Amino acid sequence: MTADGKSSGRVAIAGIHEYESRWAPDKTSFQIMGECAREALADAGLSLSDVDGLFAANMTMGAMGVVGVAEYLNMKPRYLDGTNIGGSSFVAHVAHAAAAIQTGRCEVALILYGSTAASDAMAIGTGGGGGRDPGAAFVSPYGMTLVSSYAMVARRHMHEFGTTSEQLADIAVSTRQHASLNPHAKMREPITRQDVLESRLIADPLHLLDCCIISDGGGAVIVTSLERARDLRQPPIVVRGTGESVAHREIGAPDLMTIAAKQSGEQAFAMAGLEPTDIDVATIYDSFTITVLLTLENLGFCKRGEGGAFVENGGIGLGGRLPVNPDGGGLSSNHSGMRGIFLVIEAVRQLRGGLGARQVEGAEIALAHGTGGYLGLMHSGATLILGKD
Amino acid sequence: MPEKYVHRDGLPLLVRHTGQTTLPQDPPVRGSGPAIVCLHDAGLQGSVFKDLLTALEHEEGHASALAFDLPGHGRSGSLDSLPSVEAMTETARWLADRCRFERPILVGHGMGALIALEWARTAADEVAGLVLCGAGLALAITDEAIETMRKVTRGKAPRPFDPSRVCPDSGPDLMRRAYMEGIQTDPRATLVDLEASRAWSDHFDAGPSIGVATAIVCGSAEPEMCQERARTIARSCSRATHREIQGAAHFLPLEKPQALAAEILRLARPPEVA
Repeated sequence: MTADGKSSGRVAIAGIHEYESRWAPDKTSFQIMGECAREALADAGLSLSDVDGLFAANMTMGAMGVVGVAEYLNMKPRYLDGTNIGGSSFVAHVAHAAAAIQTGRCEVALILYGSTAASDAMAIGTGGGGGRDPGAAFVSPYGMTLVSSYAMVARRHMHEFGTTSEQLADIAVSTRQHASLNPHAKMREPITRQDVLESRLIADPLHLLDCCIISDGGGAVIVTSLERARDLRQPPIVVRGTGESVAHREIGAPDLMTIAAKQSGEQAFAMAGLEPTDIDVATIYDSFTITVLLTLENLGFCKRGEGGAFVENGGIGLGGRLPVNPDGGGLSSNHSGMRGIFLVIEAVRQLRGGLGARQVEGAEIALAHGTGGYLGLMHSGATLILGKD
Repeated sequence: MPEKYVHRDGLPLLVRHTGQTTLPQDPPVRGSGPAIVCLHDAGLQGSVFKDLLTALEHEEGHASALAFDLPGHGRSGSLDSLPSVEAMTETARWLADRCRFERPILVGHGMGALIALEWARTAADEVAGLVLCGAGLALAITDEAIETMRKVTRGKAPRPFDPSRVCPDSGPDLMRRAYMEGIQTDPRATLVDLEASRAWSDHFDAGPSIGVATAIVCGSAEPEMCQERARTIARSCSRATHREIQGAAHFLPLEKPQALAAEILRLARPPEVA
């Protein structure tokens, strides 16, 4: 697809499944992927033999990555994509699948993710900063961790724009409120702004409840042509726009307030021919509260520096100016290391409708945005705009 | 040490056992000696008995032992602990039956001792004997301990670790192991454990009578208050012995697995009458 908007809308999401349990100590990540594949195919009304494109990633796959998944599922797809750009990977996979379908490389794409991060006691947030890239040598020795890279961005936002811990806390409060409506969410007990502020400081200014949880989990998404999707079991959810980008240290002093979402969002909106005001519901990677705030600014939902005012007092709650993460997000529902697939799944669910108390009424257009990596260091962004047929 | 999952109504329960690995649907293979079921403490899991199981396996007597993680603990399923000692007992009985551990000796550590007592109180004919360690602490859950854990579950306090639960003589490596054992279960499960233990203890003060052979084992470094509580338990058991093991505290199964194994086998093989 190009960014001119002309090729938008020819591909659709036809099936989804989110692994229900947040704690699966008796399962492997491949078992979770297998179960999700089965359920998503059933959701679409397809079988494994219909799938000819396979996309997969997680944090623990071996060097052969998606090839191992193909073997596990006893598949021989004609198109493989094991792109791993962190938590945004699966949002990007939808774009890659759309391109593959439009160019005839495959007809039915299966996107898979499975993880046992919680039962493997994976310490995601406190891992060393910067990964294994050469630039990490200039960061990791000084103690930078994943959470502290996000905290650095939060502190900068406070310094530049006067954003407060209370405003960040309101993101966690709204998200928990949503999770309380999701029977599968890991953390469902409602919290207050004060609860967030009184929770333990993890990396100043981020408190424990500013940080995502760690869970097990997985999901599957089926992408096919809009034409074929119209003959399947579920109403098609059309891929209207996509965008991808990276941001990094730029061999110098980058602007921490401009993140990958700016570039990927502009691409996606241009392709869809839409504006931020057209979006009814958004699913935004919420590794930490600051991730949501800065992503909203960079996607254009509010002006630079106005994210705090945008999110406070239920601004991103159900009934607010833009409902964000109605499933309870990574802050409260599930976060098994790479959350991107859940952003796509919840966006599709909202557009299909029928979610009860957490349904965004009249949702016609949804945006999903994934962030992968370290917000203050190098990271990826992937934006997806979906709509009803 | 072989491990396997046993599913109860779809909920996976992790079981560690002596002997050979068996197929997923098959129970552990029993030796010709006594069956031993180990019951873990609040906020812990069956892995605390790993060295004890190894010790029992290497002792003469062909004992068969298993330890399992209660729901919501360690690597068993569910985000929630069972709400009462009675419910935990019912699960333990089901599991022993499923693994064909008939009439086992119950080894209870902390809250596990309460489960063992409840089992012996309600179904004495199913139990060959009790070996209870760290039991005093489980009978002395304070409001402060529960409130601290409640704060942990709300993110307002770090998960506590009390170094006095390990004998100072045990060394830093064992202290680290005890700490690691204490962070493998969700604090929300630990909170429910403490509340369940407290509720059962209130009931226990009424004085249930336990008729099965019971060995109360205390670490010499356990606080006097805990040792006194353990003696209270001994008084409620008509066939109780009381032993003190030197160089151990509350984490006795980790600290002195060989000595604990000897106590278990002593109970299993009472001295012959001349």
